[in-house]
Amino acid sequence: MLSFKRGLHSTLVVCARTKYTKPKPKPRSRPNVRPPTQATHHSNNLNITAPIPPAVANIVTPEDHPLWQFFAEKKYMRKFDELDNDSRAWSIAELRRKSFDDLHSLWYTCLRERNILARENHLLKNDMGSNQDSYEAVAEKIRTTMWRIRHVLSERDWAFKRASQEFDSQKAQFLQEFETDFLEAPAAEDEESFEKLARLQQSVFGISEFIDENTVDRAFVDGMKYVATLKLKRFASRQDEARDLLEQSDHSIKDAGEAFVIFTAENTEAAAKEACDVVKELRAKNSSVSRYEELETVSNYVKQLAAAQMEKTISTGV
Amino acid sequence: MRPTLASLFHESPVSLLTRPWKKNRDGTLFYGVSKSGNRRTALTTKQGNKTLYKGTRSSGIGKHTRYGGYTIHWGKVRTFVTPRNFNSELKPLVTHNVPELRHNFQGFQKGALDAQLYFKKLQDYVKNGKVQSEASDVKCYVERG
Repeated sequence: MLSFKRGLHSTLVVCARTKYTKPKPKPRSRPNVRPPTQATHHSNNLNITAPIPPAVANIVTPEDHPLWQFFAEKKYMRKFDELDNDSRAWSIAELRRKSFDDLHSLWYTCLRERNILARENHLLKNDMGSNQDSYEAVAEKIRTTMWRIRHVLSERDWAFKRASQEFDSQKAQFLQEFETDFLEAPAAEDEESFEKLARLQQSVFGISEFIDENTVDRAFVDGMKYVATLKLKRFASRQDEARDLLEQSDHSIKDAGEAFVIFTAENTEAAAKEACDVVKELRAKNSSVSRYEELETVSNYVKQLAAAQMEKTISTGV
Repeated sequence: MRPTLASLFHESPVSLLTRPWKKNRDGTLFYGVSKSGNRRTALTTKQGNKTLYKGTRSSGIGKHTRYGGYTIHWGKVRTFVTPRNFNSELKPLVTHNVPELRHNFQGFQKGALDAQLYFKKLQDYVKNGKVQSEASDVKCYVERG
């Protein structure tokens, strides 16, 4: 008689499968049984062949083995006259003309070459016991190139830091000079002038031409207002709407929403006119963005515009 | 005739001259060329007093756990950033047939670090976009920096 009131211990014993209980049925035979993946040699099917002697000829090195980077043209060692003995290191002035990417690439090229030379020099000095310094002399020239790369990069960094410190005081004058040039250019040079404006907004305010690359911060909003005002001023001599709008808004756009409309409009007279109409509607509705909510609102606008552009490109692409 | 003292056995004129040195069997000096040794070699990373760093700065990238394991902190592991757009046309050295380019900073007191020069370059960039300077011609060897 089973007593279920007892604890776990006895229950386990009672439920255990023993030789008295019914055995588990055999599994059904499967139709698709995979053959074993590994062959064993229990059946003595091994052939005995002659031993392979260890020899260099038996070793195959892959062509793209990474250690080949330590060899020049896959040679054990270059001869002295194969070395580049006459060439000189890059001068600082030459390196100043290169972009960061180029300098970065050149650094790695130098490093590789120095690895090769160090290996060859080591062989020469230790295995052959020579006193020749040819490899070292070339490596030293390359080292010169390398410190000059670092020098140029540091120089660039310092120049940028110093200039950005001083730029706060010079910014107004810098922008003023640009504005006079920009407004004096004749209407026939519209395209070039707006290219200049794009470069200015990129370098001074950090606003990219591609709207989805931008992050909205104070500099972005200020730059947007500046660019919108400049655009209006540019078209004011040709368009009554733009002129009226400028006069009404005291010769500078202060509202972020209005600035965004004008800023994102295309650089043509028709588009500028449309933008002016939209701004007038906004004013009639008395809708303006408060200064405290500017960043949030503008970043929402930017996101919406980027999404709309994405949709447009996808639909035209398909 | 007085017998030679056993303690003076090694003090023949030649051995007195080469006193602190021992000789190999073929007669060459065992210690090297100088009595005091060469003390002017560069220190290795294992030498120096307690204030000197002795190591390769290659360890210490993680923490030992309580159970004898080691967790690597990937922020501390050294990484080598390779250029994204590798320009394989640049070589480590320049041909000696080309004169070295020199920069001249006339009118800019602090040379390459001058802020006014930076503004000038910025102004030129806004005006003309990316333009090659005159030194892209090999014959030009002096240029404004």
